[in-house]
Amino acid sequence: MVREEVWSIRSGVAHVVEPEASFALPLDDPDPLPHVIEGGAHLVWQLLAAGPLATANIVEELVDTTGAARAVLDEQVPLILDQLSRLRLVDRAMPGRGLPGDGPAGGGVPGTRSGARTPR
Amino acid sequence: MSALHTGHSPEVLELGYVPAITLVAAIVADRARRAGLRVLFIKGPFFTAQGVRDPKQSFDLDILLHPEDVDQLVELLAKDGWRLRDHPDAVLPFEEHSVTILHHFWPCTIDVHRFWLGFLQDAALTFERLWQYRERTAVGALAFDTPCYEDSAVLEALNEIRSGHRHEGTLAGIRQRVRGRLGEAAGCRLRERALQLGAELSAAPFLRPLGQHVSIPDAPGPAYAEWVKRLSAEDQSVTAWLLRLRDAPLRRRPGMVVDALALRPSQLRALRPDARPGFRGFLEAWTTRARKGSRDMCRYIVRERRRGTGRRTVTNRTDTRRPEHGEEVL
Repeated sequence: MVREEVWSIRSGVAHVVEPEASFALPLDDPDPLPHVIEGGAHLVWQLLAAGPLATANIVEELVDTTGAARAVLDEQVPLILDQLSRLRLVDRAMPGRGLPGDGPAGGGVPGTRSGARTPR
Repeated sequence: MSALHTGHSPEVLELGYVPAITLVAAIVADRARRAGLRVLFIKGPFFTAQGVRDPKQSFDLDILLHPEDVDQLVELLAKDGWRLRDHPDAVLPFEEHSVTILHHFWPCTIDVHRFWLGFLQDAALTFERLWQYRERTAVGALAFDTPCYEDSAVLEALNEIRSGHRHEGTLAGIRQRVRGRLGEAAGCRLRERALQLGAELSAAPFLRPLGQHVSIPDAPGPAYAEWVKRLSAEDQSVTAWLLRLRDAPLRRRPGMVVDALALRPSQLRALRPDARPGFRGFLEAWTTRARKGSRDMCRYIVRERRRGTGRRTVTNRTDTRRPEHGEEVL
């Protein structure tokens, strides 16, 4: 069984989701300024705002909601997540190792803790 | 699929007032929490989220603190680039209830309140009582400490009463909302909270139509007199200033007049932030202010002559009932 990374919005990142864009603010920064998240990244952010998700689940949701080709999403979603991660806006964790703020690590069904969605 | 922009790019100009206020509130809440300060988020999107007011455009973030914590929070926020707006205290007619801070990036200012006008008792005691009954209010994905629903309704009502005598419709709207939420008990519950917060008398115009018989005592005290004086000024700084001038000792009056007329450019711009830059902008703002001041002064004099009241104040009125909307208060 492949252990897939689960993504979540970092604790300490305040964010606002608007219809056209999301705005993410890393509160740990001195004099924090917001990142504007638009387009595909906005769609990914909206999903993460509802709870932690694995990359495959994000792709799955976007295939359903946007009708975009799975092959394109399989390529783009990891790039977006990587970019969000480099900006320290999202965290990644392997299932079973716990997410920040999830309490004791270990155990559990992948993708089901703290409001995460179950894979279809 | 497009990616994202960082906050340092011009794209951030797309940030509207409500998201900006929400994010700035998150900064304030974070800084206050780290320092162990208690902050209540009031008005704007918070009251809208509580159902106290209809959604309306807000241009600033309003927060209320324990009066002794205000300076510390302002200092903390200074580390994030927030600066005090230059304040023309020479022409402020009343005790300063709030300070305004601004930031070169964010479109909204922060109004940091030491106390809330209309709470006619010790500000620290009022804050403790507000804090005791606070609730968490969600604005989008974030949650903030706000006064409880009833306290927010009283606070909003006082804000409207203070705004002048043209807001009966807004007060009626607040009453309608609290009746919808609290039912028949609305009047009693709001009066009880108003009493706890020292606002029973000042909120009387709001409470009476809710079935509460609030009568103003013969000697309501200096805090109430000050409140009525503010109402009589109807937010017209010139009228309020004239009242102060009238009450000031004779030897202080020339200095007060000079202070009011000889404003520094920074003071004038703080009073009129919409003034255009440069000397011409300053001149226009000064002229506009002088014209408005003269007009308000004339109105005040005409009103006083019509009444023929001389130096009467609220404390020696024979009718000490709080004037209803539409009634003159002087």
